[in-house]
Amino acid sequence: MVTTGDTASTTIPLAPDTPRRRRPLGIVMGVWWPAKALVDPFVSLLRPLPSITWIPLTILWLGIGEPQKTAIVFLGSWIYILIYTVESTRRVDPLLIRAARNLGASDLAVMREVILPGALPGILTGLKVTLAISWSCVLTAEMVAAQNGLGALIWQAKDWGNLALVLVGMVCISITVLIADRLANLAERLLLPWERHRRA
Amino acid sequence: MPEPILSARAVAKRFPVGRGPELTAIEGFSLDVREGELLCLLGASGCGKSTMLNLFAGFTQPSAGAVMLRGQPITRIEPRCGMVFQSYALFPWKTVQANVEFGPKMRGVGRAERRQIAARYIDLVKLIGFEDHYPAELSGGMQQRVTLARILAADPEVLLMDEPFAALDAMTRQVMQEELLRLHAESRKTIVFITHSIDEALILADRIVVMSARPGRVKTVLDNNLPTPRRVAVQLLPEFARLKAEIWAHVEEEVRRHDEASRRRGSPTREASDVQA
Repeated sequence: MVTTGDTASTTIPLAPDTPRRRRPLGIVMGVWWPAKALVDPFVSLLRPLPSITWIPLTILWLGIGEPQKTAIVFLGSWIYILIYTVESTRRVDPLLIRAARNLGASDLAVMREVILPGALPGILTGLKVTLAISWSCVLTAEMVAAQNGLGALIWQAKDWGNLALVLVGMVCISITVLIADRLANLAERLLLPWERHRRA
Repeated sequence: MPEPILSARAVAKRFPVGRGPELTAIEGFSLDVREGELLCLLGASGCGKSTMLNLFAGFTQPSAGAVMLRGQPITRIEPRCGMVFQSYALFPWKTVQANVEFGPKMRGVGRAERRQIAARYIDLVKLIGFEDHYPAELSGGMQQRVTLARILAADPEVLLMDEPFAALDAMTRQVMQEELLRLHAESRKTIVFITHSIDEALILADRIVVMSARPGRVKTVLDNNLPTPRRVAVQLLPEFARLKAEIWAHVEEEVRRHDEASRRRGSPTREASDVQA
């Protein structure tokens, strides 16, 4: 999991301290070197901020409404998608890259045929983690500042002293998350057919 | 004598080791591989035979000397020298069919023709009926057959095999050795086969190159005159025992030398005792 404090600098060391064996893969380094140099400072600065701390700023920028909620979800979750994607790309077995090249694969073919499918399970895991995080982002945003949405409804119900409505709201959230999770698992089964034996 | 298909001229390979002095894996290694032969490189673990194979494949470059395919230096990963890895290196996300089709696909062969090529080699390694299986659903022996089919479908000029049967159980290994002999007889491809088993070298090879302990060089080259076509039963011939004793005499000396050198360095000697008599 990516919840420890010092991950920003340790989980995205893409180019300079990448093991030597990865060097031949010109394209990944070529594509990612500048990307890393650009993204890294932002990641280090923005990563420690919990999504709730973005609420005042996004309200000032976007007002209260759907765009502000979307912004909160984005700001609270993009970093996890990024970290999972980078990490699972780095973890693709170098032997398979070597084998592909030995079978005549070009740089582009290595990306398409080896690195992408090799990283896909990790990327999908990242998306599932992000799904849960996004939910708590939405609800936080709605409870703190919103006129509509489940979070706002539960918050208002509390003010009215309507316990039943609070509980109904919570059950609704629970069911929605369950359904979303099932859908994510289904997508995983469809996208990763080669892992079917592991699930069986 | 015709021009060798693959050759090494006074090849040396050194690796940096931490901050200490470099490790010399191979020094002064010269060898000509003849077109169509099955040549075994025999030596203890750590003698540099895998390093040599990686040089032939173009995965690494020699520190000195030259490695050549048909007289041209090998300077980058060379698809004409197809590698069969000990750990199979099959693409887990591709079916047997798609794995075997990979080489032709990279060459730009169209879908229909690709299917035909794959079908031929899947038939050759006796895996019909398993086309839609993923590698993880197959046994070790079957996975190694898939890598054979995959490399044959890619149609390289030379097959480089890095102890391909070492991870298999003894019985499956014997079956695979006979399969390889059959494939070699049918395709007449040049094969460079690495092993640390004298038995395996004697069963498979046309010529056996015994390598010295580190730094690796050619200690001796033997023609294997055991009758062909060979089957695993060749091990029962008196001539087999005689050749085995002869090779062991060469190898034993090297193993002892490596063992002593390791002891002096105070490093583990486990790998030196790796040659199977």
